[in-house]
Amino acid sequence: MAIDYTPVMLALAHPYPELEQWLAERFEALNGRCVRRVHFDDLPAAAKRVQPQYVKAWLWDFVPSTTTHVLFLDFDVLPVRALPDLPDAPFVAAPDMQGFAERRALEYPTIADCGYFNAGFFVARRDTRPIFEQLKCFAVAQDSQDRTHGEFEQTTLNLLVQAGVGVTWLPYECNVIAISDNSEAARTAINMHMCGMSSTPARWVILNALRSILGVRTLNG
Amino acid sequence: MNDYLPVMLSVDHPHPELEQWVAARFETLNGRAVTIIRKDDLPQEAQLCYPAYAKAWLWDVVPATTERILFLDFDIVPLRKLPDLPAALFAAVPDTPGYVDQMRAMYPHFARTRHVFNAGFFVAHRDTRSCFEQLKSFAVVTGYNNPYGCTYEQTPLNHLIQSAFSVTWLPPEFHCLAHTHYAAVPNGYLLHLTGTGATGRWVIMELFRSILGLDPIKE
Repeated sequence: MAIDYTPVMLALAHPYPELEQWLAERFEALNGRCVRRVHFDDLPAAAKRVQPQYVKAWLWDFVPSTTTHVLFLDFDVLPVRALPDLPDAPFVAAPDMQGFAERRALEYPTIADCGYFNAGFFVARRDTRPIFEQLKCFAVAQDSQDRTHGEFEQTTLNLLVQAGVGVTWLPYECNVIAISDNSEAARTAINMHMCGMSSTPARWVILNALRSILGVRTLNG
Repeated sequence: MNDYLPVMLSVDHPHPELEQWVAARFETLNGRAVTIIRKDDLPQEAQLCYPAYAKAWLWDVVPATTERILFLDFDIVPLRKLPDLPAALFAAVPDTPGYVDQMRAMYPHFARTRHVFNAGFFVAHRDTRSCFEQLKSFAVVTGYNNPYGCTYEQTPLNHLIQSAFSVTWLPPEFHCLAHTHYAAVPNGYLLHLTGTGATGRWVIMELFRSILGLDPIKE
């Protein structure tokens, strides 16, 4: 059953607004849903003071109260192909890249048992809202430089979700990590996440190249 | 001037299918087969050097009749057909300004130069061979315990070429560096996947392969 969802992209201070717009337009062309883009001025005062990665804790504050599912996209996620039908589950995400997830599993038994998702792409149902409220508390309490759980909000969100509702897993192709060593997954990628590159500008140059090549057209296969 | 031999140095490529794709795409776009130099094609002394230095032996592995080499690193994506190249002894694209500033701060020689080229792409005439011979000596003597910071062969090659020749500087579209050339890349001919990490560049190249295949980009 296809669920009804609102796609939300956090683009607090995107250095290239034309890329932000293109990514949103491409998502809409592929998936038939208009992306709600959240900018810094849209944030409540409390969210403006936290580490930017933690702003997703306010996700439910950015959508109408009638929204049942939010699909979250980082501002460096390239929609390559149309998403498959998404399951109606409290929290849906794709596993993080191999190696990275395993390192987290060594630190946290819950992650070793239940897996580890990359927080750059996920779908949350409204009954997860208490989890995001908890994440807000973490966000406000965290010093901006504090990486207690390693990767800003990501590990905290993993632990909260796993303790609360669990994760329904999507295939890795839904959020292929560009710095992984899994080049095969790039052939069938649904979303490509340009995160973690040794040179931060590289992701924008590569996305700009792809913008000139792909536009909003769909791919065969 | 459009007479050149494209050469790709591909020592221990972890993804042979990507090496083949880059060569096939370059040939489809530019009508010239790429000569791929692998480890076994190199002389023994070159095989013992750090792989980046192997380009010092370029003139030893191409036919004696080759007048010009167009050199390509193995992590470069051919995007569009190259225009005619200038009839120059050595042509290349300036590296990122931050790197040039770093080199100027480290080496007095570069204080007088406008640019430092990125050695992932260049066009060299046979007359520059003496510089490559000197680079060989340097590679063999110092190996990979190089005194040139993080740039391996790039800085000594810049030193050698710029001491002997005037470099013809090409616009960034000829060699878009992924860590630098945002504005140029929509019209770029070659995209060098710099700054994307040791494994990430292959993921991104595979994405380009799945999108582009061998077809020219529809403008």
